[in-house]
Amino acid sequence: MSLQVDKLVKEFPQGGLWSSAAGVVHALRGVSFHLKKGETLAVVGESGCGKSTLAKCLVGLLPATQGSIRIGDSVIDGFSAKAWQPLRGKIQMVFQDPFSSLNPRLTIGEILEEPFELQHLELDRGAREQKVRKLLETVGLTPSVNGRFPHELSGGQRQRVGIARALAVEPEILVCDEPVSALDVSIQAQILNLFLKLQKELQLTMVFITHDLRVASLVSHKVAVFYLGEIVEEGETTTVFSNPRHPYTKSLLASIPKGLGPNQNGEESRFTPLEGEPPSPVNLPPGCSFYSRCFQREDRCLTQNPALKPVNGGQKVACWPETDPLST
Amino acid sequence: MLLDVKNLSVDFQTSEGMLSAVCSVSFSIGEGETLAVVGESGCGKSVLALSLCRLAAEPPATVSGEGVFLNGENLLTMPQERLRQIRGKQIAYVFQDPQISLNPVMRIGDQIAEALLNHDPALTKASAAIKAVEGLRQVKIAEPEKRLREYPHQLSGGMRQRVLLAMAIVLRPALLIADEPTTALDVSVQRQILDLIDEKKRDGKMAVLFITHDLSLVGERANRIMVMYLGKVVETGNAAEVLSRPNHPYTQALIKSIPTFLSADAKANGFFSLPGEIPNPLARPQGCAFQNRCAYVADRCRKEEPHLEEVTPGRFARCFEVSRVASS
Repeated sequence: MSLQVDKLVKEFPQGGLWSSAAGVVHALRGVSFHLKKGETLAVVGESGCGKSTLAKCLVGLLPATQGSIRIGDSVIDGFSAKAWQPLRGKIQMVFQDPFSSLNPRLTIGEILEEPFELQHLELDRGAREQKVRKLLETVGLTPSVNGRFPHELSGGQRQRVGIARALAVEPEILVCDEPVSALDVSIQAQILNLFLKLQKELQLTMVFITHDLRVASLVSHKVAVFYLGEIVEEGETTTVFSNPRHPYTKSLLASIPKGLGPNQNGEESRFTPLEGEPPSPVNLPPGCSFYSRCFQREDRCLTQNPALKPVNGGQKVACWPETDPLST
Repeated sequence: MLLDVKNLSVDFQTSEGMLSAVCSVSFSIGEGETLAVVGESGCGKSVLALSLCRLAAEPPATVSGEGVFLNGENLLTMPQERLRQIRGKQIAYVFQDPQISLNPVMRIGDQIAEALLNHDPALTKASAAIKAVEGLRQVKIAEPEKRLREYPHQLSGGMRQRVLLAMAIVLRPALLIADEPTTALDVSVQRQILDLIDEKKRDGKMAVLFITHDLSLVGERANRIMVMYLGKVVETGNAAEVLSRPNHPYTQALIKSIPTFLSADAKANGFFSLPGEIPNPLARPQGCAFQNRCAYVADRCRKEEPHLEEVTPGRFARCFEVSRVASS
């Protein structure tokens, strides 16, 4: 099933009855992308760039302010709970923290059966048990965990349960919000392998949110680099990561520890690692949002926000010097 | 030697029996040196860090051993009063989670000043505030005078970790213990914090005990590496040598599970992942603790437990099959 997102906007009004600081947090500022069936899009960026808000809007946990989401042939643009209801089974989510995302008072079996009820799949006990066994097997757990509680499992096992729960209603699209960042490096590899297996066997369409560019480079076909609620660069993963065009992407790549990033030989990166922090999403800068940290900024970047445009190489970039170089 | 730890053990009394979290660990750190302690969750690295300053609650913990000598003084036998003078002043900590390590209802400036005033009663509040500003400036926080008056929730995660670091180094400790200081942070901020620690090290003679599960972070920063598994040291040695030619199968597996950037081979065939999980410390296996996950396991490993032995000068490993591991 394909996933198409059009000019998605999410704003959070700030302040309330007792607060004088009224304002709006611009979490998503017109995000668009298209994914074909079986494709994985990695969404990368720093904390606070709107990655998790995107995930929540995609599965309907948060209503978007504007824009539309097309899942297969159905379009959602009103974002009411009613509009989502028939589609919830098609798009499911895997959460970051395997400790807080499982109900501690339910057994693993009960956790995995709950989605059947919520989706009104009328199954008898035998069929339910068989499905749970099948799910456990898919994610690489033994049937014996069925009767155990989340606290009896390790972090890696719990994350497998979280994935199995998302798969319970046989969704076609999976949204994963930092699914490996709470895990040890050694366990990370196991879970990433599981995602690769699911990609191949179930032909899932995935949105994979991560701040780790190494992880993104390994699991995705396409990548979207987020900065302050906007996509600043997008394209094929190999293209974007081997020939980054946006200064933010370049700086992010330069922040990967030496010898493990694109600069495998241990030499220093050609680009400047990131300094400072992104500006506040409440008081947006008038021009390019990356201006304050950019190493190739020009005067026009301060006043005009660049649009996402294709560049030769195949990706799209929102950067004046890259898309419209000044003729000198 | 600045810090000399001899046969340190930490046991916890639990309802299910005695749990040995740290078993007879010995190591030392010289002035200005960085030692990285590496291992998965549950290997005992955090308990080790806490118990050096007797910060693990006793009971349930019992700390025993020949001694933890800081400049010749034994921390295990010294009175609480003296220990309190050493904590913060000579040995300072930076913990993993900057959200919970700061007092939410106290201004940043007051929290830094508190550390200063505790160790120097003669200091006036005004001069403590000046030193706090200086501390924030050292960790490159912009507008330190303004930040001083803010509360933790007004700062970003990276900023909070900087505040913790400022608090730790403002008293110029001889040893900084950093327990997963960047695990909760973005890749870009991670690098900034690690660079900052490195910079502070160069300024003075501060030694660093760096605790992490991510080997890729320590390669370019640590002088020596100590790998722990189920409470015991399994390998130690010069950082560059351990990373390029590991002697223990566990170290080797940890290195292999670091995701390599844009690896086409990994995408097609899956990543290397260390199978299985760390055994329950309440039910230690007979023989080598790593046997169930080891690629080199032999009959002897299931019966006898190997000792930590010197393989080449300065390099120790706890493995019967060292020659096979080292030659692969």
